[in-house]
Amino acid sequence: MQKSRSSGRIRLMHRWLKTGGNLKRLPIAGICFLMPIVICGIFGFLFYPHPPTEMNLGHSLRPPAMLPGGEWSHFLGTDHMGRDLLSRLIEGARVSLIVSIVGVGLAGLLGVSLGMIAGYFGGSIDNIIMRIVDMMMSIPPILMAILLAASLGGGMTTITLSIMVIFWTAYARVIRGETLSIKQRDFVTLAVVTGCGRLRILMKHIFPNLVNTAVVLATLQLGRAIITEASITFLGLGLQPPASAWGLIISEGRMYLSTAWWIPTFAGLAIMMTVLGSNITGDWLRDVLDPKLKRI
Amino acid sequence: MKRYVIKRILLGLLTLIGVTIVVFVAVRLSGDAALLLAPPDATQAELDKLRVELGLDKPIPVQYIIFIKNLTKGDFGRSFRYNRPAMQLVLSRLPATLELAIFAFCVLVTLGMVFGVTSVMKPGSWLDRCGTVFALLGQAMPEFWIGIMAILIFSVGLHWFPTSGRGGLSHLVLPSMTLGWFSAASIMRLTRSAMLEVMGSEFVKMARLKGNPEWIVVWKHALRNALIPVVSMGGLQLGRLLGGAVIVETVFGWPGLGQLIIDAVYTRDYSVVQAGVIVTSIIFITLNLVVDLLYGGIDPRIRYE
Repeated sequence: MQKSRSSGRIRLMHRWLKTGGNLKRLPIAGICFLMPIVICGIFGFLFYPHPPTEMNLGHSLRPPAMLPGGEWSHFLGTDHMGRDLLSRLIEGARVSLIVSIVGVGLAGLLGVSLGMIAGYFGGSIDNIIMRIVDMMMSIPPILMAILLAASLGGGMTTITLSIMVIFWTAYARVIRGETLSIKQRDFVTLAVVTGCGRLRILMKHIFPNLVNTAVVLATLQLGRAIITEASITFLGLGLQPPASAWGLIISEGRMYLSTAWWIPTFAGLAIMMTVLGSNITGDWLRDVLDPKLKRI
Repeated sequence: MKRYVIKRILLGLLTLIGVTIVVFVAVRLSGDAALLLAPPDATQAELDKLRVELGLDKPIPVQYIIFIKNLTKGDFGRSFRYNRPAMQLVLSRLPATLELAIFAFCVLVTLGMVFGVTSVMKPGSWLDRCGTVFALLGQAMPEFWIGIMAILIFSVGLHWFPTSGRGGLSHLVLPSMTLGWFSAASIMRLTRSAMLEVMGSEFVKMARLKGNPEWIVVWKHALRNALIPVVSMGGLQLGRLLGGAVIVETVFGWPGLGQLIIDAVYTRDYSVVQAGVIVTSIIFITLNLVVDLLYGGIDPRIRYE
């Protein structure tokens, strides 16, 4: 009997090539927004204009270079402690990206696993998992983060945990639906007939078909995760000073709003750029890989 | 229909119990719950008394039962900062938050729906482009930043609106705009895609064939059917508004439930945090229940799933 070539697997490259590998349809805007941020995140430490923690109280609250009173060495101005804003923003990219990516990654791991189990095994396991999902979704995300931070204290681990706890439910729901529909397909039935163990079916047959959906969901969630992380840090419940997180820069800059408007403005623009880029790229990825998710 | 209603209500209750479990677990995660729930200057004797009251020396399931019994009596603990029962404090701040959330909901959701519909009706027009930019930006900006920028531009810069506090209509504008932008963006996107789907259906063609003017076809026939997922999303967004009010209230100094909870976290007044989270969740669950029932009422197909 001829062995099925892809045994139900849909490879990302295969699909992309099938669409003609159409470079014209690449999300130029999304990549333009996202690339600088990612580069800052990974390689930022190579090109700080100044070390982000270097304080120079004589230079505090200087405006950006284009405005009167500004200097070109501090391109975006300085904050109340004399730290260069541009350097702090570059450093903040790294921190925000790490927390969001790790958080969403963990959430995906948990959500996809539970979603697969719920969808495949059905019955009471499905019921229990879905009730838990309902429960977790009934607590507004920020409040969940507040609850966790109040209990466990602030800091990077708590905030990553918060993001994982907030975002896993979306995965679970969507992946469960996908699993339910994949379960019906012929190659799964054939696998069962040939005596494949349940774990093997899940990992070798069902999971590869879920990867597309999971990846798309992850990119769509990334934007929200970055905003959530910034919000929690803004409230003082995430990373603590003197870390250079965007949320912290905005909350510190809030006190100087009328005198040094550039501090919260540029930090917020950085967040907006990242999320916009992530959303646009995510939308494009969804259109390419899994248009069924268009409803979201 | 009756079966659907009962099933939904039972599910809601179950979810509520689940929320209490989550809150219960979260409090005890840190180890010693008595330390969290007592004022910072409590003596050892007071701590021990609190431990006995909460049943911390008993096994976990028993603790949970004590917790639930207290909840049903309305006892959520006592706020040591304000020296009032936590629940009373929470309920006193609730109207402010509701005012903000409901105003934001009405104004911005309507805006979102209008944008969504006109985006379908007049694709490519300036209104459509405005709407798309509005939606794109709204989903990309953190609420606290929108609030700060709004204060910067409209209060500090233009002096159109006051910077903070609760009062008349002028105090309401900036916070609700901040709070609602993301929801409006989501609603707009959903309305747009739902309308696109509906406009291709048979009954829309029929309505046109009957000779109806286009605006009746759109606003009377198409929109009603497109509204089904929008209603569901609307309920979700209202719940999100209630939860997200925390940040907006902090930025604008709005004396609502969200700010109460945040202050309680800073001052380690944990019973208030507990009460606040549970009350917000109750509202959220009730809202979802109402939306589900409405949904079942509007779309008979749902009742048979």
